[in-house]
Amino acid sequence: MRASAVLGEVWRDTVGGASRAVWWAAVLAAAVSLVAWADVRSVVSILRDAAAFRAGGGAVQVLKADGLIDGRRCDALAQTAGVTAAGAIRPAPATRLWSLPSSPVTSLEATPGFIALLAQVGQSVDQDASLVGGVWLSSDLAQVLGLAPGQVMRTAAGPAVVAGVYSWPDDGRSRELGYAMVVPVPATTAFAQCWAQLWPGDPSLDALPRLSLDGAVDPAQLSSGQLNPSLGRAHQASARLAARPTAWAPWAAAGVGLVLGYAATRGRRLELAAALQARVPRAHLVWQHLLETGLWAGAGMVVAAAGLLWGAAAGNPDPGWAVWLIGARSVAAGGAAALAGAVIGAVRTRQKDLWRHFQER
Amino acid sequence: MSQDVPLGKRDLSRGRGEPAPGRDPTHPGDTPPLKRVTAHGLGHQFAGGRRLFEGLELELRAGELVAVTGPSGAGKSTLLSILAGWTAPAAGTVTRQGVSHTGWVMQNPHGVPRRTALDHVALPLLARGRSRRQAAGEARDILARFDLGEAADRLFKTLSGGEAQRLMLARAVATAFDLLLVDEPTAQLDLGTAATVNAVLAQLAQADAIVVVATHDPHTRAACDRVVDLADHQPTSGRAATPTTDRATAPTTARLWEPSGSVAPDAATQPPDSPPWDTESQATAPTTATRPWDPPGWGAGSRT
Ligand SMILES: Nc1ncnc2c1ncn2[C@@H]1O[C@H](COP(=O)(O)OP(=O)(O)OP(=O)(O)O)[C@@H](O)[C@H]1O
Ligand SMILES: [Mg+2]
Repeated sequence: MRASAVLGEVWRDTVGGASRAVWWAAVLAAAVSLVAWADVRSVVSILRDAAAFRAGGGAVQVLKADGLIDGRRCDALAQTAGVTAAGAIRPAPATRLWSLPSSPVTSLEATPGFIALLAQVGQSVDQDASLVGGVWLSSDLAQVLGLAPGQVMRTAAGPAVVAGVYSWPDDGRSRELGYAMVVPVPATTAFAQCWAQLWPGDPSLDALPRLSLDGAVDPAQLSSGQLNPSLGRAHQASARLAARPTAWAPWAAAGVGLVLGYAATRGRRLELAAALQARVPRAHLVWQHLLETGLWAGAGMVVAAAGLLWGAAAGNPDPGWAVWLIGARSVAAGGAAALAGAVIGAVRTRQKDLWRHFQER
Repeated sequence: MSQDVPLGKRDLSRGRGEPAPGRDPTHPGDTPPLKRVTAHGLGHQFAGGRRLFEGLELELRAGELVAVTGPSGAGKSTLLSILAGWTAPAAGTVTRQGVSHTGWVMQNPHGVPRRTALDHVALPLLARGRSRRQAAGEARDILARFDLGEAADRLFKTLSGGEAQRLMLARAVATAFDLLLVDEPTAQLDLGTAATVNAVLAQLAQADAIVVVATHDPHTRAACDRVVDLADHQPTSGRAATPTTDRATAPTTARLWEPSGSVAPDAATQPPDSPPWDTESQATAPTTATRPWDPPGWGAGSRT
């Protein structure tokens, strides 16, 4: 049989409705979407928990060692795999403000790396990106002073520009920065604390901030802990992702696709048996049904994958693509399995099916 | 015994570019190959069933249209299946020469509802390497021979029963079978419609094929060149040959015709002067009665 004749049969069966392509595409899209959505939504919910854990400071390890922390080493931790941000702080003399002469404001000096960390842990950060080097205020303080990023604050030591405002909710995290002013300084000197956000949480990395210590240090001078212990020891997003029951979704989708592809082809077994009797070579018949199935399976996959864009993005704190890819594996598995099912169905069809069908009625 | 596997293999090896339409590509050359099916001493009986026929001698050649007749249950369909090689005969031999493609047409036409009549006839031509255009042209010619010229572009689901059955015959011709078995082609049709099928039956003989038609229909029989009547080959005809007689089953089946319940005469010992074969009472009784002695699931009887 010529290739063009096989393609002609595929075309006629699809356009004329003999392969019921629209129906099977819809069934495949619905079935595969169900499975893929279940998986994607469970991943999104784990990611939401993870984002809340991070935003609450649960992933930040704080090492306290007065005057023993090397600011540059602490900042450099951010380059390490598994560390998303790191920086050091030390207490500074309280700042006296012109507008609030009676109560000096708690002040902290911080490395540039710490400012970057603040942007991740300080919820709803408001900053003026052009003002590198300005001071950062907690939102409580900024509210009292009536200041916003870009405005100038008059202090006893001279004017200072407000570069950003961070919010520091009372959610169980250390209160040190709750009503404070953070002043960026070069990292070249000694600091009192090194903060590092470890993500994804791997308990074996909890001691990483110790690498910022300046030489050998007596353990008695150190203390360390989570910035916000109220959120649990570790989130272990990777472990939860690996253990989610819907991790089996691609297999489930493959099972469904296999059954659909097989059923669609076996449902036409009299037609296939008749084609074999009409001396259509079996290899060509298998190709024909592979292509016919490919058309509806492809259409079903496109529909399912498009719907999944929404399923992966809705409520997802991270960009949706990574999660979409997770769901797309199920969609792809379902479509590919439908092809396999069709091939099995076509290969299993015998001319005798026709004879048997009419003899055994 | 199945022809299915080797047939499929042969099909796969057949490429495109077959020389001339209507000629079997497996036998290039000028002299047409000998196609012949011969049966010698043929008899059959299903396990646990009664003997259907025996001592059948047949010689079937390409180009003739042979009718197989006999009462319902006489074993017409079974004989077709034996000739095709799908059922092993209980006695005797069948030899097939030059037969690589065996096809059959059933009493119920079947097709793809949403494909045209033309598509159905073009497929076997495409299968043997014709282009779509060539296949369509030849298919239209064949359809015209079966009085389906007008129906060519209609969908299968819109065809009447007679048209669909004629389409089955046309498709069989397009497939160029070596051996074509047609089982009760008019059984599902009313008289007028059956006549349209019988009218084109002779077209089958023009193909280079051995054609055997099992039928009840006297008009179908009249359309054939030769008749094999299974009633002439019943086991009770007094012939000495009683191949593979299962004596345990013989009395059971015989009891059907012996209301007294006494031990029935064995087929071979029936009095020679008894009426040759009472087709009505003996052959139809087991198939139309309820047959409580049959094992469950034996539903073969009342097909016509
Ligand atoms: N596979 C089988 N196993 C056992 N018995 C069978 C089988 N197939 C058919 N029979 C029996 O063999 C007998 C002959 O069946 P067959 O179908 O060949 O008859 P037929 O002459 O074609 O009848 P009809 O005219 O009704 O089609 C019937 O009694 C039937 O019940
Ligand atoms: Mg029959």
